[in-house]
Amino acid sequence: MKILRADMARRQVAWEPVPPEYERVGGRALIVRVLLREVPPTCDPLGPANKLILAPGLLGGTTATSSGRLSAGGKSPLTGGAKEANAGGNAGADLGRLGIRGVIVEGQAAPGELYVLHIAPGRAELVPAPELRGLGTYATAEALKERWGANCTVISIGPAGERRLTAASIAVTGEGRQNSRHAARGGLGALMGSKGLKAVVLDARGSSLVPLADPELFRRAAKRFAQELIESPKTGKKGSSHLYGTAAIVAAVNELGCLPTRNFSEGRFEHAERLRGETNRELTLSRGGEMGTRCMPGCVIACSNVFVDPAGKPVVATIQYETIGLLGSNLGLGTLDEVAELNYLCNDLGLDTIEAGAALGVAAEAGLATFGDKGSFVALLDEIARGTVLGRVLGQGATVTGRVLGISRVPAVKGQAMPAYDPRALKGNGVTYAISPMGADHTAGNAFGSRGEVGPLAVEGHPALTRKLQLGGAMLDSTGLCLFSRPPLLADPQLTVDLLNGRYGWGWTVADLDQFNRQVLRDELEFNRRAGLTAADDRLPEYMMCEPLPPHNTVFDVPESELDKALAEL
Amino acid sequence: MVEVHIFGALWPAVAPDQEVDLGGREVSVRDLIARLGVDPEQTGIVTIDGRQCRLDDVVPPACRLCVFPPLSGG
Repeated sequence: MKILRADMARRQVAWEPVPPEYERVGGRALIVRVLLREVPPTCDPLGPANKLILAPGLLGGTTATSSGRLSAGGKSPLTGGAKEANAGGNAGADLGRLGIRGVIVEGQAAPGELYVLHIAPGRAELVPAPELRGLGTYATAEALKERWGANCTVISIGPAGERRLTAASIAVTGEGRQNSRHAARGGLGALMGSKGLKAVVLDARGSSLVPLADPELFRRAAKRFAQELIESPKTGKKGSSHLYGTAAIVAAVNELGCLPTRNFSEGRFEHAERLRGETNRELTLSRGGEMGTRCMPGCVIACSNVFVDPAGKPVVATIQYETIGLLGSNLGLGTLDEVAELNYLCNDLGLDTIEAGAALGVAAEAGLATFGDKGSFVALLDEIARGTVLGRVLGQGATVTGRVLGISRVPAVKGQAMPAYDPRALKGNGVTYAISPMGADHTAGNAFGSRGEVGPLAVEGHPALTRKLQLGGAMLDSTGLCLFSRPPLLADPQLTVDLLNGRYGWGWTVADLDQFNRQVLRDELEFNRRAGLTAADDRLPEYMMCEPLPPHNTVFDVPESELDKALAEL
Repeated sequence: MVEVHIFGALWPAVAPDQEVDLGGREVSVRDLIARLGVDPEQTGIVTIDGRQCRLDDVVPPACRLCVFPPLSGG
């Protein structure tokens, strides 16, 4: 494996052997390792000293199912701390097959310059790309595939990233029509834009599967892993994820009263039935769209879809739960067609749909749009597209939007908007939002569905639950495994150990893996501490502790002492 | 009267929406679900009036009971 460094100031690329300190880390674990060793923690996130890291997980490029996530990371322009966001698509597997442990993008291009980093087996170059300036992510991917080949994978930013808007995401192309997956959170698109890097093109043709230290052990573990997912009632062919996609949970979240509605002012949405996964499946299939498709090669879960308009024309792939929550119920919009239209606009601009949806909700509360009126939100996204002053404010995300517009009801932690679970009715997620080094991030440790452990409205018992979930998240994000592959891996950690030992021959034990996961969280917390984040950042917004959320009329009342205890136990 | 709603992957084994009269008997969530033709062990979140419950909880005589298949958040 190699490290590929791209020095944007000098327009140079360099291949390096993986140094010992980066040998046994991948994905999220590699990102924080690089941050601690190479990035001054108090640097300007959009300045030359910050680095953008693109990395496959430790299992990237192998045949293990659901292992091809791409991790993107750096010091977050949104939270000011360590950040990793990951996406499906082909990039994680391609980087693994290209023998790349991580791409580290350093320095900044001269003002006004824009580049594409093209990577093929054994070679890489920075190519000037002024013609791509201002293009959306769809057009960017199309132009680059036309130039470099239809089988290439494109990692790109849209106008939002180019303008360094801190709600900007990084888009990744995937298998088939899954052409717009996003490493969305934390404003990493702005970091990529600050480097003057419009896109990375991966041409993995001619590369081969990664070598295995113990092929038999790996094959046995990979087979068992896939089999358990196939047989699982959650992830198998008759499971909710495959049949209905991530939107399968809309009805349950709504019933539990934690579906963000009209800027997190209610937990139940009167039109939720029209946004459900069941509705999505019926609508999509009746129009000639696709359900149960893969976003990355070899995934046995296949929870993606191609949402089409009434004429059968593809709008977005994939329409996801978090997007439905933030661009749908949170804006008072009650049809999937409306959500899909906003989803497409965000994808093309290169915007995190969670951050954008939260910012639009705050803007509506300020009177700049009307809940339930799609046109008013399209108009605000158009402000972002045109780069107006208002658009540049909205594009900075919910926290900045609230500050500028004088709205204190901003659903964010560490400057990052909450995903689609109101923590007043799913308190376990509130604990994770508060103390995770990632800020308000559902992938950091989602308590939804932990039915046998701690109830959604329970005040006690959260430290142990969030610790377990956050450690699991660290493992998934560092190995490149999808969040939905979690059940068999958490049930038997030896499975992950066998996959890693089969791949690398490290001779790890379950205790080693546990230590590895803990170290990821500790390193991130340490980077955040050095960056200046304090206990004051490990809290939910004040209004959530005093404003009851209908229908249960509950507030977030997990004591601060419990939050501190949970943090101390990470 | 108990208003019962069954969701998603638990279809089409049973009707998604129905009303059940408990007839004054004390019935557990587990027993009621089983009586409807759903294997309780194959269910995920179950709620009574929007609050997550356990399979051994007693079903109130008048309530809204929602039965979901195993789900993953994300």
